[in-house]
Amino acid sequence: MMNKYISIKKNNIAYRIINGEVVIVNLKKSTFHTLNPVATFIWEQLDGQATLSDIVERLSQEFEIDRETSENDCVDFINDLLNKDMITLSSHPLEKS
Amino acid sequence: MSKESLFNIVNDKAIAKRILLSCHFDLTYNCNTNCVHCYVKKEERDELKTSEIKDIMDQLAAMDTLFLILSGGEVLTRKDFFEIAEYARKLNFALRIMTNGLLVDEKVADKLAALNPDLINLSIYSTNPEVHDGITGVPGSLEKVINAAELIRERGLELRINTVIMKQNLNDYPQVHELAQILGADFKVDFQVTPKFDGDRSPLQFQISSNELQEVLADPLLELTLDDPIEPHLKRFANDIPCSAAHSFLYISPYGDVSPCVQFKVPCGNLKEKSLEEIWYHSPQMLDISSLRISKLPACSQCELIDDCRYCPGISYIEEGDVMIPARRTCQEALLLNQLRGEENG
Repeated sequence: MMNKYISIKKNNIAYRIINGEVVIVNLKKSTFHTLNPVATFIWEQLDGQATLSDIVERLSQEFEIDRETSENDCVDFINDLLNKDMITLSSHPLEKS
Repeated sequence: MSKESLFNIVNDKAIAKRILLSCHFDLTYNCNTNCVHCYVKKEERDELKTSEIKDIMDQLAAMDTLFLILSGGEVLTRKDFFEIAEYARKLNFALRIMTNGLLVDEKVADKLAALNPDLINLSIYSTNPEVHDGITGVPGSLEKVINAAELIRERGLELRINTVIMKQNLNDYPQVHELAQILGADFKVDFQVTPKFDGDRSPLQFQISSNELQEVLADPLLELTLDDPIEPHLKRFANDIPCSAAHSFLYISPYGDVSPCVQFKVPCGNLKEKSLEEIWYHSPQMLDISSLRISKLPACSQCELIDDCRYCPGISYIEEGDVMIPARRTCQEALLLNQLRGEENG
């Protein structure tokens, strides 16, 4: 999982970064979510160009936390998004449109 | 936490920063029905072109608007509707689509489903064809709208069935509610009938009387079905403001005219002449309305019915010609709700 590229399933959701906070409408499950600053930072990295490992490193640097804590936070959040069908994992980076 | 509660939290934050979270965009005033209570008055002006609508959507996205209500008229009478709606989805809007359902067949339902809208809204006035078709002016419209509702639900889309209670269909909403339950659709009622945009008060003849309103308000079936948090009348009078119009919500007409709400058509600027940002942040009319506070309303600020009041500045503007004066109908409704609450508590 750490070497997978992660991208947002834009067809399934509507979202905006409003006042520094990600607000998401899950259109498949009709649910509404707001993300805290750590989750918002991770969300902003989900462009299909970064692996989970890259994101763990970036989070660790951005919030000055050790790598283990960063990895736990990232893996928990990514699993949550996977369960909600909001992201996809891929072995290759997403082609830029 | 429920979707509505979370929305209220986000909307409160948007209001505090005056972020345009939600927009009601009427794409056309053309319609294939002739509803007796319709408030739309078409003008001899060109409606927005596809490219102009896309440009406005770009502006909305840049201003962080998330919820986009596409309505009319009948949106599906626009040949470019799906081109517009697909463009909106590419910009990551949560779409709410208001349609009368008459043009929804299998193919159109598939295209609607591909958009993944947040909600589709259909109006059903009665399960009796004579009553529903009598209101829409189109024979066979009930059969078509029920078919549309089924096609929409078969594709797993969120559906809301809206019913406006008027004299003609006063006793019919329980059956419409039952139909909504069978379809697995949300159900909302309204009993506000307003004059037309040009001031023509003829639709008011269909408004229910105060005695009838009292009966409707007392019906437990209708509890919690009056308000929609995404639309302006939410969490009444939070932070002393009447609603989110001009705070986190605005209305755009098919001519590009901007106003705080479809029911509050104070002209604030036209998008063929000015940018949305310029109108939202600098229109004197928009800023004037955003400064409106309940505590500044001479009658309402002192009124003991305030907790039961659904004061709407748009209704006051249309009915009384002044946002500072509560519409008589609003006060009557507040009194009835207050009495009902007293009876429940007593």
